[in-house]
Order: sequence, then C-alpha cells, then structure tokens
Amino acid sequence: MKKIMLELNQVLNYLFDFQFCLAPLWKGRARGIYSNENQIYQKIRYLTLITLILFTISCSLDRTNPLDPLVSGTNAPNEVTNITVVTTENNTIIISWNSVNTVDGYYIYRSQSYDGLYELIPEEINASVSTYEDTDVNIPGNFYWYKMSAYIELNEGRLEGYRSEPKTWN
Amino acid sequence: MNKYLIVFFLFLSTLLFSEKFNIEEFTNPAKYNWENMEDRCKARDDLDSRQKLLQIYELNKQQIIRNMIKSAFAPGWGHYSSHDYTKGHAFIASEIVLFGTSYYFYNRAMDDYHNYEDSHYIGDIKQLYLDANSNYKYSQLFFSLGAVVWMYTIYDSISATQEYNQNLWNDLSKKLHSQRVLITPIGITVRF
Repeated sequence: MKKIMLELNQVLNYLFDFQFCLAPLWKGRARGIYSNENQIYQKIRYLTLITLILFTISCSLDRTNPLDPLVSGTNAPNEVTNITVVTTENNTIIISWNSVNTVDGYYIYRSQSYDGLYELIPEEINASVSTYEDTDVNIPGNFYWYKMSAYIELNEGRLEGYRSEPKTWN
Repeated sequence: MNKYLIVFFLFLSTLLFSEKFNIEEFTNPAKYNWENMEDRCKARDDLDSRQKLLQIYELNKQQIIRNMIKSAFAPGWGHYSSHDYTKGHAFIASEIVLFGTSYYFYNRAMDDYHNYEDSHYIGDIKQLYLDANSNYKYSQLFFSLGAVVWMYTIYDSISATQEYNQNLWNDLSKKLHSQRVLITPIGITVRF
C-alpha cells in the first residue's frame, strides 16, 4: 500500500510539475536530473508534449457559409457542357450550350484573353434558354473568351456551380 | 496501571543507558584542532568573514520564484535579471518569431475565412475553406510551439538563477580571499 501511495505521489508530482513535458528535451537529461527515474515517466512527458501540439493543431474552423454543400446539404449544380461560340456578320457573338437539369439560371463570363480577368455579363439568363447573344462586343480585331456556370437559388442566396473551361470561336 | 508501569520502566532504562554530560570534553578546543588561543582567534575571524560574506550574498542573490514570475510575464526577463543575456535574447527573439509567425498565419486564415463566408461560388467555397483551415493550423502550430518555449523559459529561469547565485558566491569568496581591505555592510576589515 505504501509503495502504491509513493508511486501515486510521484505521478501526481509530475502531473503538477510544469517541467513535466519539457525537461527531457533539453537540459533535464543532460544534467542528470532525471537519471534515476523510471523510463515510463520520460515517455509520459514526450507523449504529453506531442499530445499538446497535436491537440492544438487538430482544432479546425467551423463551416459557417450557409451555401456550403456540407452545411446546407444541397449539391452544387453540374458544370455546363458542350458550349459553342460563333460569330455573326452583324457584330454579335452567339453562345449556346446543353441545358443542365435542376438549375435556376446561368452565368456567362467574358474576357479578351484566355487567362485574363473574366467579367460577369450582368444579364439574367434563366434556366429555360440555351443560347445567348452577346452584342456588347467589337469583333474586328478583338478576340473574346467565354466561361459559363449554372446556379441554383437557395434561401440563403445563389449557389454557383463550377465554371467551364474558356471557349471562343474557331 | 500496567501500562503506566511499563512506561516508567522504559524511562528508567533510558537513564541507565544515557551518558553523563562531560563538560571538559565538550569545551576541549583540541577537538577543533585549536592548539592555542591564536588558532581559536583565526577560526573566529574565519567564521566572522564567512558570515559577512553570507550577508552580502543574501543581499545580492536572485530569488528563483521572482525570476520565474518575471519569465512568466515576459519570456527572457528572468534570464536578463540573472545576467544571462545570451539566453534572454534567444528566448525573447524566438518568442517574437513564433508568436509573430502565428499571428501572420492567423491573419491570413481569417482573411480566407471571411472570403469563404461571403463566397457564392462552389470553387471558392471549397478552396477558401481549405486555405483558411491550413493557415489556421499553421497558426495553431506556431502558437503551441511558442507556448512550449515560453514554458521552457520559465523552467530554464530556475537554472539560470541558480547559476547566477553560484557565480555570485564564487566571486564573493574569491574577492574576500584576495582583498586585504574589505568594506562590508557592517564595517571595514583589514587583513595583514
């Protein structure tokens, strides 16, 4: 019984000792402060130090965006496929695509270079259409690239699906 | 009744085994290797000087607990007090680097997180959350390392203070034995 109490006392001393998890890393061992102690206590210190660091880095940020599929439980719309871009003689570009099921509308982005800044065309394109005529262009001497995406309306706002690869006319 | 008798006899038995106090032997100076009065005076002088040394040491020594508290408030402060400037610089610099890096990653994480909260595009929602989370983890990692170093600083201030006190004692005793004239808080001593 006495031996158990002594062991318990020693363990408690280590638990309440602030050097508990630090001493073996630097000086404790080198100075021989803990030379007579049981190997188990040294392992406990290492484990505590590692646990402390792992615990702190295991904390994650909360997902608070209501449009996040992992929060709302709603899947994002599929990517728009089969996009074709053609030019007409009267300075207009016609973009057509395959309709995507269960979406509420589309976004079209336009840029004058492939990897440039794509600006959203500020016109509402609803889900029932599958072509768009872009008249705000000046075709002779200019090139235009288009990206498309579909969106769904949720109570918290619009959730936009993945954008397509840039397309232009041949 | 028997109990009291046993106690009484035990008391008597202790008296039987006790030795008579020998005042002659107790006061015999030869047991301290004092052959004459001069030796006794020398020993007394030596004792006096060591007492004075101890007084100076007590006045100048550093308190371990005080240095620990200083290090708990500002890492490295305890080491500066113990005149261990190299370690003091190292600890304060490492704390600045670790907490500064942690703050930098935390700021980046919060920027990405606010953008994530405002985002409507699924690509941004996924990417910004991943970026924010990884920056947040880096921030936490550096913060916990900073906390560990801070704890170690407190621990190390003990040994730094002990080392300072040991050096102080060594210096004082060296000075005492090398100086002919000593000015102490309680007077002046001249050695011939």
